Amino acid sequence: MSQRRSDQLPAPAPPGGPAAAAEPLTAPPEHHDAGGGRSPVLSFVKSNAAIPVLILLLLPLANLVEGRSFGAYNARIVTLIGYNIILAVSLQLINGVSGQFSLGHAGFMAVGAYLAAYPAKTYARGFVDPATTLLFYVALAVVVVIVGAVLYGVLRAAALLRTFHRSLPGIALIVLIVWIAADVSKAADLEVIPTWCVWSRGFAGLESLFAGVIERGGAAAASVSSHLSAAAAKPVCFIVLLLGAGACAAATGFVVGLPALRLRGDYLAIATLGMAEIIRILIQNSRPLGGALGLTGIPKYTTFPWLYGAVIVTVVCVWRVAYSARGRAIMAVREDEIAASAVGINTTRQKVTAFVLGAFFAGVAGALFALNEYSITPTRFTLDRSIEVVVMVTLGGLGSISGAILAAVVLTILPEVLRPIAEYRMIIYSLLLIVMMLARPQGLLGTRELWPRRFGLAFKRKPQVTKQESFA
Amino acid sequence: MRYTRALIVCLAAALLTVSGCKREDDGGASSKEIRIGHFASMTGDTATFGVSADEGVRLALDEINGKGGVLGKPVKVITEDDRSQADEAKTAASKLINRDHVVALLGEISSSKSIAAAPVAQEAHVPMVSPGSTNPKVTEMGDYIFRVCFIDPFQGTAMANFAMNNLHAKRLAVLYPVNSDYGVGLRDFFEEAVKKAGGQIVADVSYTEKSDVDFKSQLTKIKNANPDAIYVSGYYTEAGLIARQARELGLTCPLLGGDGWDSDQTVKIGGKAVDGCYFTNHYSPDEQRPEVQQFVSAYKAKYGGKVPDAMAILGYDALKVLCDAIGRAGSTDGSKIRDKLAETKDYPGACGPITIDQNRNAKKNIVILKIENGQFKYVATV
Amino acid sequence: MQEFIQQLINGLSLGAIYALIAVGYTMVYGVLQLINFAHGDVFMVGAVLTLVIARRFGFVTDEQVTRSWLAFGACAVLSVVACGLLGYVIERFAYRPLRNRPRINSLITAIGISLLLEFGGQHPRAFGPTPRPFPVDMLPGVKQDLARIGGVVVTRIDAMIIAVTLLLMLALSYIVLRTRTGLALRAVSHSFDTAALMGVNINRIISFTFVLGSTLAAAAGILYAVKYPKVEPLMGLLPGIKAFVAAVFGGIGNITGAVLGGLILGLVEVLAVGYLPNGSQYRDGIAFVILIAILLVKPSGLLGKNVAEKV
Repeated sequence: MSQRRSDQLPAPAPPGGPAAAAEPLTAPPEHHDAGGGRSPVLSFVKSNAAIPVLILLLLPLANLVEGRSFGAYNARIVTLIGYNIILAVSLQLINGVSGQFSLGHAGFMAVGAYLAAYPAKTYARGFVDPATTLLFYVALAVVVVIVGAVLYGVLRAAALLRTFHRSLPGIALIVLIVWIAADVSKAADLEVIPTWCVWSRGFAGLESLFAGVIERGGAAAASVSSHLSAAAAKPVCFIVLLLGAGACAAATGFVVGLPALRLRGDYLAIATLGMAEIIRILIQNSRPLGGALGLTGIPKYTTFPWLYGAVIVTVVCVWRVAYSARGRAIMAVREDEIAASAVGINTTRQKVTAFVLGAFFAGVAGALFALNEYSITPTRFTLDRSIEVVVMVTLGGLGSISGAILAAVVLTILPEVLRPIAEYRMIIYSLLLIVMMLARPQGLLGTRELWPRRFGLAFKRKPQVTKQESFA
Repeated sequence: MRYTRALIVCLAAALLTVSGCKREDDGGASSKEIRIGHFASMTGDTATFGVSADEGVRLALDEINGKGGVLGKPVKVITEDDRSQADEAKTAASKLINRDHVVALLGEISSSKSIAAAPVAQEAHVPMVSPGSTNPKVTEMGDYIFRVCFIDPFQGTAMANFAMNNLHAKRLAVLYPVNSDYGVGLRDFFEEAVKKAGGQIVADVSYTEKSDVDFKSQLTKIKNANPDAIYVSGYYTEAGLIARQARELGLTCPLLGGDGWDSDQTVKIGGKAVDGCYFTNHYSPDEQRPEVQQFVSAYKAKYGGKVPDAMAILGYDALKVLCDAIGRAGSTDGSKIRDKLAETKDYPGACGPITIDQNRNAKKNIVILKIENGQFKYVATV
Repeated sequence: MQEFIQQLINGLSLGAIYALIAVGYTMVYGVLQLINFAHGDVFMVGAVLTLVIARRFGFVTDEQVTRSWLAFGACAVLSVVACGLLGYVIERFAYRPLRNRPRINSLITAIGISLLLEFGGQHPRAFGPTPRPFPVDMLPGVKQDLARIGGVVVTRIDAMIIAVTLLLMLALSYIVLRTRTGLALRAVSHSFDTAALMGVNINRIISFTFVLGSTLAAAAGILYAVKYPKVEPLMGLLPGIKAFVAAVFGGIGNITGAVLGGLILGLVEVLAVGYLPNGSQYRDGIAFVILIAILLVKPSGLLGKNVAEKV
């Protein structure tokens, strides 16, 4: 196919703002370097001070938002904005910064939501048992490691087959799929699984392994938890759930990202779409996760401070990754993969990092969502939801994190504002999309940010010594 | 200035936020009218149920206001769309309660959305009446949550008993929609009842509602099990197609269904294939009770000759029962309305006399209808 | 054994419909490298419009239905032509302005148009969300069986679908292989800039491609509605995605590949649902599993060529 300008991703906007325009490779000397000593403590504080301030602001804001005068409906809108910001920013890392068009974000959110809701309901027992919850994730990790090992073996075997003949791996894959299908279908009808149904026994074995780990560790975990006071146990449990769910989503991101690496552009979009749908269908068909009716009876814990605390953490993390050396490597891969690998950047690693990190935060968003709603259903995580997030990211400007935040806010409020004309609401939404793309294709902010990139970075770049060094 | 852009953008966003988060004030309107909120799926993939229910609600609204309203004031129903999403249902309910200051809520048809919105109503002490959610869990969410329809255990058991006793069917096959809380619930209770009565479930096969159009593989499996009757616990959106394809495959046994079959689409799509099939319903269009006939003709008059389906009549009855309770309560106070709702006894609904039991579910008659020559014929009351 | 053959025939007729839609996707992708998300909704418009036209002309009323192949044919042809026009309008006003911009913009626009068609159709003034029955009865005698061989039933509908698809495919291959416009089409999908340099009117060819693809999608929609006579505004979602998977499976950009992919996908779907326990729950997942499998093993598709990237 010919190379066309449309093949390339959005051209980077000229460095925004006159001050940043001529950012030379060597930073100008620090002007406010009074006192001679560049105290690392001082510069650390200066660049990181915003974060604790923001977090401290959360508490009075929480009082405002959850108070009576603000109104439950407005509080709900604020909550929805919170989820959407986390989702949009995490997708921005994948779509904007890393340039991989992923349409599967709802899948990661689903993984996070379900794998936070299920342990919260079954193991956390009112959020007082963090250790058992942790045990759930550990058991899950054990199973995943084993499955991963088997899969790796299969892939190595496939690679080996390729040396014999080009098409052998394809044929072997088909044979494998048919074998598994036949195995599973045969065993499903029977009570006792016959010996030759290797795959079904394997799955059953994994299930019992999982149950076994939880059983064996259960007593010990419960006793550990009982040492914690009730007041301490709740937040710890919540954090365990969030991190665990995020980790599961990140693992999913790894699984999705690795094979997707070989694909570019539209292929990647469809592959991620397919994987997200497969995840959703798997969830829809699994009884312990509630099946099509979903999980109900999920205990509620998410509140404004927790949600917006997570928002702040997400934004800070993604910002720091995006505007760091690693971020520049990721962007280099986005701009021109071949040139980047020619310069020595490990393109695989950068792309997978973006996926895994983006998926992690999507999982956290999902967990926060699940622990706020009483029930979750698979229909919450369909393609439509992925598209909503993609629209937020693109409307904000691909590559602009503050743009994603802005678009998330606007696009959450917009349907609510349009409620009076509810009949036409979705029609207006889609028209808006089209008009926006035609009128301002680069999005609201393009690749620029609302505030300078330096803000929020961990360290100021160490200034170069500018005075001539004497060689005496 | 470097930050002008940022400033302007943030200002715009703030303005938008403010317009979205208007201060929730009373507006004083509640003294002039009685506001009721209806949250339903007006768009999205369950829109057909929500739109139907809303049409029934609007018809009832016309009649109520035509008779002078409730407590001497006109009734206003505000409908909010939940886009067929459970968390949107929660938002819609929240908006109706907090922004529009409704005194009571109507909604939803789909159990999973009712379950999502119920905590909002319960916490705000706003009575919520679901027209058509049949999963038992819905009213368990709190004592402000009611429903005017029967619940799945009742319906499933009724059909099971009818099949075994009246149709003498001992071997029963079940074809249920896997992604519908209604369909799965109905199937669970049907199978339980069949087993309890000594019957046998010879096949239990699933399909995906609103997406499957080809049921030949499932029906072939059922055919191999040789059943006396097949229970199809889904909605009319698939019932007609299923019946047709069953007949094409040579299955001659009767098909049984729940109130989800109630629609003229069943006959239009199913044609001759649905003749000889039975389903449980809230009412029979045959019934000479004046409420039914009046409802059907009024509906046809208002909506251009359309025949009402089950959701429409449920929506209609829901608003009527609610307004009746408000009238009896003599005030728009949530707890008073709630108490009067709980005391509803033998209210003459279009579906038949409605009594709210201690679990806030409706005690209604269930009728069994048979489809003959494209008409629903009343067979029995349970 | 006869159940197997029955499923085969079922799968072939479903696959034929997927093939028709997939061809549209693949042609558009070939010339523009654009996944036309709105394609599945043009499929839906084809079916819906036929019903609307039939009602407007009074062929279908609440009481009775005119039984006439001619009447049905007229409605169908009108609908197909209208969809071709729709395709042209979409391309002209939504995709052409974005041709020189990054692809993601066209993708988002395509998504926007898809949403517009779906929600616009759901609006009570337009069609409404309630599914309506498709007037298959307008075709007298079509619901009967064609032949019974052994225990295997071949319905007239299936035979009609396969026959019409064959005809359309033949017509398409004639256009693409034997006419100058077809030659220009192939040239553009091979190399956009060179074709422009050689004097091909790019805009005209791209419009032509869209019109062609849209008419095929509309025809597929009508055939689908004849087979499963239930139409509603969201009916194009799933078949659209599956047809796209089929196009990718066969090699996107390759018309024969799209046809092959469509047939195989239809077959696998029907067989899997028939032979796996609870297979129908996984029906939609199967398409995606096939997609992932082919993207992992041979991303260029069955009949696609691995285009080496020049550095």
